Amino acid sequence: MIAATVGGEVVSVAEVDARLAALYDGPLAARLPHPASPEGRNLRRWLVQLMTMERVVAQECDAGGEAVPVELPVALRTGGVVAAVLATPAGRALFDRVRADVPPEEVRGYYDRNRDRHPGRFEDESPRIEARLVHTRREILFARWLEARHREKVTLMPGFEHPGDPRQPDATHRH
Amino acid sequence: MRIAEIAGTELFAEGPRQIVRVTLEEGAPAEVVITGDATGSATGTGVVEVPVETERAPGETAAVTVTAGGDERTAEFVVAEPGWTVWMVSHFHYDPVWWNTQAAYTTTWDTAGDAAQASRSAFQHAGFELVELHLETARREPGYTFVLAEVDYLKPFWDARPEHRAYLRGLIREGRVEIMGGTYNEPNTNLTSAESTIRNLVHGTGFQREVLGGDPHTAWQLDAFGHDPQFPGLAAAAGLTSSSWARGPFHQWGPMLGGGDPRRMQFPAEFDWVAPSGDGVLTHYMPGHYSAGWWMDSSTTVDEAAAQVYTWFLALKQVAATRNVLLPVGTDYTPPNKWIMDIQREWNARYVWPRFVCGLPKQFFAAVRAERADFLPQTRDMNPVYTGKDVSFVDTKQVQRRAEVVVADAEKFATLAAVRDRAGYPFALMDKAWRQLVYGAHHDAITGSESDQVYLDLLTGWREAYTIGSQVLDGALRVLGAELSGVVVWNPSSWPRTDVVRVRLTLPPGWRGIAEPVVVENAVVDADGFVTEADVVFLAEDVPPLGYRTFSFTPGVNAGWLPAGGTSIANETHVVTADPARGGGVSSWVTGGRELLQPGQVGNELVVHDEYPAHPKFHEGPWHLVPKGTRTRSSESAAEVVAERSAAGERLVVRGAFGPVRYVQEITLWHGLRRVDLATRLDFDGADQLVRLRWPVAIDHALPVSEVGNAVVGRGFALIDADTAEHPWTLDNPAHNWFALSATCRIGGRPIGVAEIVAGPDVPVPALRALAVALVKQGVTATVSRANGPRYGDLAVDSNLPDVRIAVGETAWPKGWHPAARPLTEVWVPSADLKAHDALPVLSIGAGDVDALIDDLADAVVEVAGESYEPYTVGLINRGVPGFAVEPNGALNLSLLRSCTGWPSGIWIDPPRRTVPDGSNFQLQHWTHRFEYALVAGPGDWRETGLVHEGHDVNHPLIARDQGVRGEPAAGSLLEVPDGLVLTALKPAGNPIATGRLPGPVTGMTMRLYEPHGRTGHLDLPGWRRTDLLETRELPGGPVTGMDVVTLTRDAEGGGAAPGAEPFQPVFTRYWLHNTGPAPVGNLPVAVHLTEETVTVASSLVEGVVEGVVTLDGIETRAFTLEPGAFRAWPNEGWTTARLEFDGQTFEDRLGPAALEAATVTPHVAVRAGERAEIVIRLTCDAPVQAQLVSPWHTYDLLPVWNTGVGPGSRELRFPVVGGHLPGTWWALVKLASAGRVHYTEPVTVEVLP
Repeated sequence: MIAATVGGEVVSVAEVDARLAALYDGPLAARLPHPASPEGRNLRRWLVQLMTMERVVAQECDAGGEAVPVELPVALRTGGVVAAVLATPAGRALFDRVRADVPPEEVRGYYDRNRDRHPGRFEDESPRIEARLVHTRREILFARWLEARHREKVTLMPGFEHPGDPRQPDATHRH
Repeated sequence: MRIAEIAGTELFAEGPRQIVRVTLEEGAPAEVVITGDATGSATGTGVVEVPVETERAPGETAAVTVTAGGDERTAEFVVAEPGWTVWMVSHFHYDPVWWNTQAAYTTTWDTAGDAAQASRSAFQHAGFELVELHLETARREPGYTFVLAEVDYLKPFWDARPEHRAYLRGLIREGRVEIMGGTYNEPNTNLTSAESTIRNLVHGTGFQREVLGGDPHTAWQLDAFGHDPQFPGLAAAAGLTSSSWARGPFHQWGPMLGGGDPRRMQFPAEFDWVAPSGDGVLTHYMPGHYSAGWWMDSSTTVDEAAAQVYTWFLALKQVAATRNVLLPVGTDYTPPNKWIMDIQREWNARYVWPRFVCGLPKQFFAAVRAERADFLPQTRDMNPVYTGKDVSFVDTKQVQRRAEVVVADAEKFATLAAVRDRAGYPFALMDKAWRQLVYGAHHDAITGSESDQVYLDLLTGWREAYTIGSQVLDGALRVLGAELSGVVVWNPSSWPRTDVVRVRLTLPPGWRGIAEPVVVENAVVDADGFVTEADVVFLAEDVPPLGYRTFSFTPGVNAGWLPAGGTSIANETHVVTADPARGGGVSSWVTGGRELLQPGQVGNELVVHDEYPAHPKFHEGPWHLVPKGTRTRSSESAAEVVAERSAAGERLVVRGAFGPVRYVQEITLWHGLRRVDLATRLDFDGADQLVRLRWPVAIDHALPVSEVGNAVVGRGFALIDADTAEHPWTLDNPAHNWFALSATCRIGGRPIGVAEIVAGPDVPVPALRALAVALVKQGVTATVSRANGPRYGDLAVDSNLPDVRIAVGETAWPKGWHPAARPLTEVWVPSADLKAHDALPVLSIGAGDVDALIDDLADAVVEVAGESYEPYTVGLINRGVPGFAVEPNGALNLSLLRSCTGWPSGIWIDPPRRTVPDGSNFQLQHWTHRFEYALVAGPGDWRETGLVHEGHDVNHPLIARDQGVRGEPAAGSLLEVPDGLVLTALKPAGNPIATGRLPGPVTGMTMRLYEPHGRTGHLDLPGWRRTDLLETRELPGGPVTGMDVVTLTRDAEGGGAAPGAEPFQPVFTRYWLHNTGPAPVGNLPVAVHLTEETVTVASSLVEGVVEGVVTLDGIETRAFTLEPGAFRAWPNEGWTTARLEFDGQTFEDRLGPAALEAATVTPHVAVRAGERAEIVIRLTCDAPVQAQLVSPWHTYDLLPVWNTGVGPGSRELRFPVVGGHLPGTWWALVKLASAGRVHYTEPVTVEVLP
């Protein structure tokens, strides 16, 4: 039974269930939704998102082995799967490969619009501004790249769709 | 080279030239040439976008020949219309409470523990972080515009992050952020009084406009579970000009759920939403939900994201009234969408039309108005949505109604005391009480949608409002009644009243009872057999409006309830008989010689409907009613029935049990009252069940009528016995004080309540508006559609159903009155579709006959030759139990309570998790409940039956004060109010605290009135001026038309501002971390905040310079002087506490978690009437602890002390328990909050033994 494929690799349902069982045996157990409920199935879908993302990261790193596992609470707490990946050594290694440029006029524009935050002379303030804008840009590019690689490499089987996919049967519209 | 496909698009290049997409298979780049009705050329491979010019008009078909690299094909396409704009509105929807806590949603979600992550979506952030993320994006992207709305995060952010104030003000000035809403939050206006909605507008607009400097014009009610019909009129009267929201004319997710076609809607997405008052605002319903545009966030390329926006454009434009589409980009707690600015840049570089613009609602509405002068008027009832909201956590709805009433009545009498006697007015306390009501009106609070922990947090808010209201009322009546003696009875209604009143009297020595016709209950009798004190119930006759009458008593015999024998009771108006064999149900109810019950059925019957734990299709919990279609009835078991009589009236007492319910019912007929007073006490231990109370009355052709906020409307029958897996829509609705079976309006022999006005092309919009207004003033809401469009009345789309059509002008119906093919009750079935031509009766008139019909409607009767109807009314008055359903057979149902195990029932964020002592979720309601309600019946419609006054009076009982059993006769009215209007508020003029000012002396009075019966009258009150809801504009006088809401103000010198303070000091400045609702008493005009880096003190006042001193760790001080709206910051030199004394209160911020341990010494407390006990908690803490006893509202008299606290150290908290006369079993626990941490003690069982 296959939950998803990532490149040539397979994420088996057994692996997903094992990871899920660990979660249900852990400290979070009492507050997790019943596994048979739609919320429970969506939790499983989240896990599959994490597990497939781990494989993507591992493959992209050419690590030849397991990537550092991405934790579900971390993923949710830090603003998403990508942010959780960034919290792992493998993710940071990939992030280090991302280069970004910000055109000088953007730095100048930011300076002109945000004098409250940058009251000094442009020459003194611009390195900080540029560093900040470049970092933000790299984060955006990294997230887009990683999500695009995930999209290209990963095939999700029925029952393991993205939990937010409105087409999957357990998609909730929680007001 | 082969041409594979030719397709027209809605896209335009410069010119504007429409783009035709030609798909080429194989080969090198080729020139594609289009000739024929449209011409143009382009070169490319694959999909080639060819801009073409055409003489054809939009909507016409163009036939073309396409050639490319030797291939040639012909095709046709529809000529598109240029000039469209998609306004991508970046927003986030924010619930201050829901399944997660106020603390987590405001700031601490990331650290709130694992349970707070389990139901979190990956993109969701807490309020402060969201505001900062949007501000950061605005700093980077000069074209980025966005929306901020709720005061629930704006107020804390403004105070605690004052370093952002200048930048935010700059964005407001530049028009890059729209401060939205004009309301404090997104309230569920259909579950509160209209006055609560008005205060929501007063506080929302006050903060957004005055304090923040925004310019709110659009009510932003995205997620509210339906809307009160008067809301658009109230919004207009508060200076708003538009509104937008996602749930209303259709069910909760709109017509596009599951790929549905939005063109099934009967009117465009932009419409004139009109209230029963006749006022309204231009409104946009969101056909694709408020989350529609957010999901492009999951695209992996800008092209894919842009394609999604284009897809939404194609769908939404179909129901747009102008060439403007609003695409909300955001959902619950979302950061800025990652594609929105790239789309704007790249798409608009590629295409001229449609434009994709990151814009604001005000730009959207301005563009809509620029293109069109009038919009179809809709008085449609934007309900029901999420029927579970009317009954889940029903105890909170009961306490909310009680609190609303006592706060409003306290305000009336305290204002009169301030003006007549120059008493101080408690501005700060009353402001806090209203803000608690406003906070609790949120659509995840009063709706019962919240998790168990949040339920406990919210209970303290309603209790605080109730406590403040009760105390202020006591104080005001002491002042106003200082010169009076005897039993002083106060009338909070604006008409004279004769009603029963209950008072606890201390009797002089030597009395064995009272000679007058009273009931003496719960007497304390001394050793000699003399009564020392007792509850006395008597009929207080002719108490003047907003005034008093004194009553005296003489000694007599103790006249309590005595056994009367039999199972029948009677007074001048009614004869009521109960049947012990059928659960004590009422087997006969005769009024004026007429049997009101259906043969073979019983009234006052309890019916337990089995429910699914969660919605079988939509999976969600407490906000859905999810009956399975099976039920158990009290009439299936026998019960005990006892008839009793007293000097004041007769009653039946019924005791029974079945299924999960044990019940005691009282049915009382008072001498001199035409109302039947009823009470049902329930002990309940079921799960996933709904308890309804049923009165199967018989009135031919009568229709359901519901009081709403300051108005009355017709509402259709409900379909409550179907299985929601097959038929999801039960059509339950929330009533304000009452609902009835009656005739609000009629055509010939047929009562009508909900109409579709089908307009021919020859009928101008102003005429349609006038007709819709004339109908709704008689209680008939209407959907205005065009004859060539879709019909209203398909439950697959519409959230409610019509019962009549009025065809105007050129339509398919011949002029005249056409009966329906079948009776209404035969077509009004589960999943009904009433779109058919002859499904409903149709009144067809010419375009020129509209004025005559409007005139005819003034008396709510449209005469038809040869038809007649004698209306009769039975009304059921509730006291905070809003859910009702009238079955097509005429049975009135009141939804008493329900238990729901579906998510987020039982969710708990801050461990240890607490439950009801039996281990069940609080959402299951396993304790003793008491429901009070009343019946009124009589000939005529609801107006003639006097239901508006009766409903008001039952909810605002006469208030009696014991100032001796004998006194001087006296009576008087303290305020003159015109006949025929209902006074809903009397308050000091102005709203100082809500608008960022410190209150001063009372300088005037403001009263709010509404016309309840759809009649036009004149208003002439010397000295009073008309003003708007915010009391900022003077309005011209003029007649008061039906269901108008009128605000009047006058100058009057009054007392000063009485000080108000939180009961426990110091007040923790980051109050949201204690989940205590809105800002503390006084609304934190000056706020001190401490972080690891800085100490800040910030003024949110709009006038007055503030001077003060901040004390750090009790040693160091920092003095400050703040101009209005200014702040001051100092580096934190390692301090962990910062204190500020201001306006009589001490405010403290504190870093680092407090160590807190607590144990409950008394797990079970049982008392009898008159006995006392204590709930004892031992605790140790190294910081001040705010301690609030939390318990269901039925226990407020039993547990009189609730809001307190202790200083650091090892302490004991003792909460007295005072045994009362109503037996039952409840629970209580103590919520301890210290330095931003909360702990809930183990629940105590609190029992009053019989």
